[in-house]
Amino acid sequence: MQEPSFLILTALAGGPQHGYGIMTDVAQISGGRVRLRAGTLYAALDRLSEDRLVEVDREEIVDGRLRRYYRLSPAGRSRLAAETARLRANAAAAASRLRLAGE
Amino acid sequence: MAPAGLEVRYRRLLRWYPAEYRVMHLEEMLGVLMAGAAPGRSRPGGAESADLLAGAARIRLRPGRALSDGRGWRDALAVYSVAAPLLVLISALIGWLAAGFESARIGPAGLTVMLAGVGSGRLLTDAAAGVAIGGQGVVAVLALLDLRRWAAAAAAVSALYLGITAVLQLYVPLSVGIPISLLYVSFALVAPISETVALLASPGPRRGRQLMSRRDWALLAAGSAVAAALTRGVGFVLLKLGGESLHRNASLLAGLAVAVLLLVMWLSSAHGKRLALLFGVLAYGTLLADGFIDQGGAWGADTVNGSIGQVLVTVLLAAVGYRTWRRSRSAVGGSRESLT
Repeated sequence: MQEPSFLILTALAGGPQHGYGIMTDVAQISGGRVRLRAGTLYAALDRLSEDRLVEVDREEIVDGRLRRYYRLSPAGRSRLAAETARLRANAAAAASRLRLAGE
Repeated sequence: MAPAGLEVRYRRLLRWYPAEYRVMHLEEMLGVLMAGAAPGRSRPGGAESADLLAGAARIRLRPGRALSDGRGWRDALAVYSVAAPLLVLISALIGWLAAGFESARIGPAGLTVMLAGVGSGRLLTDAAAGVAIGGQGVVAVLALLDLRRWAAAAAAVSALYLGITAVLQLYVPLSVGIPISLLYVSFALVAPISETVALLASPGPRRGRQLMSRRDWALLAAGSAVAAALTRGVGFVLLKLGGESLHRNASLLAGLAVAVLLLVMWLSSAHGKRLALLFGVLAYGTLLADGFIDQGGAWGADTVNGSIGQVLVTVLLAAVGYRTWRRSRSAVGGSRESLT
């Protein structure tokens, strides 16, 4: 899974969000390191929807503009959990090696 | 508040997304873009424009749900059932006319040899030529008259005739004297067999005609004519104009023309993606068959040169096949991509 996809799923794990909300949340989660633009965000959302990892939650009209909210699907939640466990295991292995090298 | 000019420019950039995607997401994306725009800004930045264009390209290239949509496939087969026989007929007629044109220059003896290298010429006695042109003509007319079952029967008979003739000629020497290639026949059978399947498995040619716009007809006819002309007709003209090397490259040009046409179809819409696959298979069969005819049925230096165009179409089909396989695997078992 690519980092933007991981961060989008992470943003949605906290609850449904619209496109602009996901962009600002991803910037916050990554400490400002990853700033998604609209083209990248919607290409990723299109792929994640196609893989049934995210789904549309609801739509609203705000200031005359359509706002569509997305949420994590049950498959998306499992996938994010699996990816998190994999990353945690990799990080633990790296930390352990670094400790050994430092001793 | 951001100026209205900015919204107009964003809308202009969003036109690069597929029409069906814009119906669903245009207003939503516009809202996100305008919300993120700095106050007083009147035009999108270069990086932002490039990101939107790259996003549009990714969405256009992706098969999406186009390949798993059963109803969409039935509609695509309906289009194929009415368009494919006509396109193969156009292609065969161009080859036939080119042979006639050339015969005036080379005389009757040359024509016999020429017929062996044109259209379905490998099999050609006059009877087999009748199948190549007449058979496709009958299928095309029956399909246009919405006589689906009769058209399917005619296509099936064409396939049977081609196959049986090929096997018989293994044992009965032809007056033309060129040995038949079963591999060539296997490529040449792609058209009548795929037409039979499309006619029987789709809602029928009437539905296909409803789905075809004039632009679709023009695009498909032009692609077929260009490919046929390059491999069969214009090849002779190129021989006169540019000598042997240009003539040898005719099938490369044909492959390029077909590959560009298929790519345009693929990028246009979900329906276009399904059609690109179906017509890609047809092009694969006919171009490869032509390669075998043009090169005398053997793999040699000319064949390698002339086969580059055919390889392009093959690569395009293989890329789509690989992508589809990878996606289905990802959907079933989860991706093994690492976080990068």
